[in-house]
Amino acid sequence: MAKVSAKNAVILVDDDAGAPQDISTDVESYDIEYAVDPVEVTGFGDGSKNFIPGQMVVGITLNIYWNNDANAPMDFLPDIIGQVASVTVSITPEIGGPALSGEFMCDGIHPAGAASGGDIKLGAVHFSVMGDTAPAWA
Amino acid sequence: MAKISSKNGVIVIGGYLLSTFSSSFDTEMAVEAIEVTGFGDGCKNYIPGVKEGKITLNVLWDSAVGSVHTAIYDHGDKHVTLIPEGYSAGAASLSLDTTQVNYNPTGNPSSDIQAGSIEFVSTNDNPGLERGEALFHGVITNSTDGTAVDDRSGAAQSVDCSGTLHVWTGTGAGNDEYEVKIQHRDDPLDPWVDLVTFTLDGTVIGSERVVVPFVATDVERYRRVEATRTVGVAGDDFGFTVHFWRDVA
Repeated sequence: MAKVSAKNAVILVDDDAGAPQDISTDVESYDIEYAVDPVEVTGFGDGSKNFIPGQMVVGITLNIYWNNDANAPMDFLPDIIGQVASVTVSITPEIGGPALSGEFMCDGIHPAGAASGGDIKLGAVHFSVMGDTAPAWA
Repeated sequence: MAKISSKNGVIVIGGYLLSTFSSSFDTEMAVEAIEVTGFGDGCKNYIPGVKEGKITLNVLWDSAVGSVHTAIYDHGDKHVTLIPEGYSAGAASLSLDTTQVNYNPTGNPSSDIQAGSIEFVSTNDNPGLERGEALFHGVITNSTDGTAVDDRSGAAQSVDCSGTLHVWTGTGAGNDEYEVKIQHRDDPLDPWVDLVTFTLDGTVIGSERVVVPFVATDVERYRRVEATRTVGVAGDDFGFTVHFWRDVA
């Protein structure tokens, strides 16, 4: 299979009413952490340091542009920060390909800008898992 | 919507309009993620803790009376309000009740003097960095009613709210005085009702934040500023900014 451009990724984030919002056009880049904590179990006499898989760690970081239109990131992300209910976040890197989806909390946004040019950005917006079910690829 | 340049941003600190002396802003609207991972859980998982708010401004030096040095040399508590896109009625505004952490002028022979990267952290009991709307930003010389702004939800909300007023051009002692209010109504045909009343009279530079806790009256969907001249004969410049915030239902 040929290498695939990232340009057609689809990113959905629930708003505070639980309705999924397609924010793809306002996302500059995404970064998915889908890993396990390596737990060292090296014992005396072992040939090298060795590990067993520990707890799974999943996180999503989206670099997002400022957009205050209705249902755009700046419209609803502030409303989900700190809310008790989780939100569904879904990322599909390639159209028709697997998507990572799960229940998350939004850790925060970081609106920033400079007088000498450039656009306003919300910065690196991180989503941490809420609930005891790991997000899954499907 | 096209991506938005930050070049028209409005920056007000404790009543001092410092947009032209601010080269960049950086804000934090966040919540502490508290880990609650238990045995058998599918992965590490978290719950939201306390909210966090912070504003950092890169500020240029200016020693003119009433400018940068006057505004921020003495640390202390200050209201800081930003309008990132620049002002239009209802433009998104960010505001925080803060205490200023630092002031560190720097320079070298081949550069301009900088007031530094000034950090303002949340102080007092507040909801963190407020994402609200700019109801007014400009200069008037007589009683003025601002443009009505509709709530983002298009409906009334049963929530707490607050208003922040910055006076950056005072009329001067003995000159015109004003009473500034935020008013609301549920329908364009209804009369306006007072929601927030500020105590600053517009004669001196300053800032003020008024909180209106929800008791029984909704925050109606339409809001505007009313600035009424209470003393004087009009004609004195009165420059001010009003930010309005309401909580999430």
